[in-house]
Amino acid sequence: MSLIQFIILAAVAIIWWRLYARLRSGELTWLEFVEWFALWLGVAVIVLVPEVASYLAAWVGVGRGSDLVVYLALLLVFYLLFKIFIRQEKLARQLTSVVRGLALKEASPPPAPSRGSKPEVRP
Amino acid sequence: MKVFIIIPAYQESSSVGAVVAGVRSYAESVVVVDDGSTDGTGEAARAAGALVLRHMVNRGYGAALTTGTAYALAQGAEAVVHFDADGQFEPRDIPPLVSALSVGRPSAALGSRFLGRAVNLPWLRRLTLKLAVIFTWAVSGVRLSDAHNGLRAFTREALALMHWRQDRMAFSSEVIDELVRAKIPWTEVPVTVRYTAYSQQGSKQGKLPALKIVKDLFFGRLVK
Repeated sequence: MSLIQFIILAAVAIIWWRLYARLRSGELTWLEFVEWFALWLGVAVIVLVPEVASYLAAWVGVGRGSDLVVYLALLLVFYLLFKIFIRQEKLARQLTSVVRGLALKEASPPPAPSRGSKPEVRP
Repeated sequence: MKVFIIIPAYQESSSVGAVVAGVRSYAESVVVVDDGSTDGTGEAARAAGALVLRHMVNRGYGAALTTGTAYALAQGAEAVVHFDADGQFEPRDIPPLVSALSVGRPSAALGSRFLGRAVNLPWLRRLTLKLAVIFTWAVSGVRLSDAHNGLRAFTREALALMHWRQDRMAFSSEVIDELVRAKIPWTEVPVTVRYTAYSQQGSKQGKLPALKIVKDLFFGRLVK
């Protein structure tokens, strides 16, 4: 086993351990845990048996296995970025509704007009 | 008719007082939504006789108008007028806008500076506004003469049918979309928009506001 294989596998092991901890603490659902576990399992398999990537690359029509890995990684990054955008938009809306609720609750009336004077109201 | 004027204001302490004083006689109540200003905008508005709602943090033009409109409806408003705090609009354009509404029915009146007058309109702004007209025509299927005008009026019945979600400048596009979706009859009313050095500071929207609006519209549709 080369050094780079060892480093990546160690990182994958740490990630698996963190995923498990987040599953136990309820931060991840079972489905999310399985998705992430499978993704990193794929990484581990490709690191251990790099020929798998070359085989898959040939199968889908991409030149080299490492190219396929880079393409997939880019796709994943774009997907995650998109998800973060959506989540941020949701959070922004939740923040707005909190801010709005407070503003409406603390509505402060204008200073009362002095006695005897009536504000002019036109339709 | 019980008319409420809603004025969103962010860092407008130098202009909001005069704007409130100018529009006060045209409505039952003037509501300024101080959108997280730190320059005393809320105090200036209150001193001029407005009811002030305060956003603790800045949430944007659309968020402020939605807050103010919700307040007006809760207070029994029969019609709501949206107005700007920077002094670009003419208070005397309010009565024609309100008279264009059909009382007791869903109805909207949209101000148009291109049917009315746009004083000192910079050419780049004119170009952007014309592109917005084409964009609105393509996306919402509505042919307006002025697609991003902040002077508009609605009846209570129209507001009950609309659902606003956009917090920032894309709100103006969303209003048109919602009018179409809820099949609310609308009409355009000529108004005057006066561009001054103050109203043209433009730093609040950041760079390329038009692109930001398109981005907000895109992501806004993906979030329920």
